[in-house]
Amino acid sequence: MYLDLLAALEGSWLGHAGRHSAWLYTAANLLHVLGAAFVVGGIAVFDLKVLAEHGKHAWQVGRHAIPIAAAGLLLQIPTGVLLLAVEARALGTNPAFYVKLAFIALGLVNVALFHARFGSALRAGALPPEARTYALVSLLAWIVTLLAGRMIAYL
Amino acid sequence: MKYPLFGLFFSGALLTGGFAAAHHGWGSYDAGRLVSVTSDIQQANWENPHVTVVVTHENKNWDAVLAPPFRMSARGLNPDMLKPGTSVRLEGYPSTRMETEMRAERIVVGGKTYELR
Repeated sequence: MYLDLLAALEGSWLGHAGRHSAWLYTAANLLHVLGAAFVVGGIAVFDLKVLAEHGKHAWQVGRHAIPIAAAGLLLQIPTGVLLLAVEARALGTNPAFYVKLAFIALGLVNVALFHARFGSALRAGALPPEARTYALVSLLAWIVTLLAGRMIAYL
Repeated sequence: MKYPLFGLFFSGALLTGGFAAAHHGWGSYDAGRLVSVTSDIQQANWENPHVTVVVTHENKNWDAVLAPPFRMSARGLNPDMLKPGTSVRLEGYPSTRMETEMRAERIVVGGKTYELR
């Protein structure tokens, strides 16, 4: 089923457009790097702020850093789908791609749980110490996602 | 068929050939073994992520991976220069996974050498 999905994506107009337009593919490639910088950069400063000083004033960083990371994620989805569509059958079964997907899932579950548990405490400026575990998991998840993504080209 | 659109896409994917699925990462070429191929181009695919051509080497068809179309253009190559039947010389490294696949470092076409890295 997954392989059929990859084949369908590769055979779609999106895959076709990505393979045949030098500019579209190059633009997606460039923006995917920019998006990765926004995601990992934005998340990292916020996570470090949560880890430092027991999360004091974390929201003052978060209210700027979180939108940057979210904007990066919004950039990653369409550019990532295009880059995948170009060679979906080969890239979709690349071991580094599986690692990347797994760590994206971890990062997304982690961020959802963090905000569900600590969203109001974060805005009130009173994060409990347990929040630091989530910050560590977040740092790990998004950094591994970036590295695994880059590794796809080498496996 | 339950999903007619999907069937259409899938057969389209099958028709475009299995070459893309055989395309491997940059780590899987043996940079210690330079292969030189002089051949007519059998088939050329001017596509992202890398332009590929099929050439004949020692009585076998080889898939050669060149550069991305954007870089090919930047180095002065274009699709018309790689039409089937054109004589080319390729220098590159053989795949460590596929017996008849190579990654080309340079291509000589029309008496001119184009570096692809």
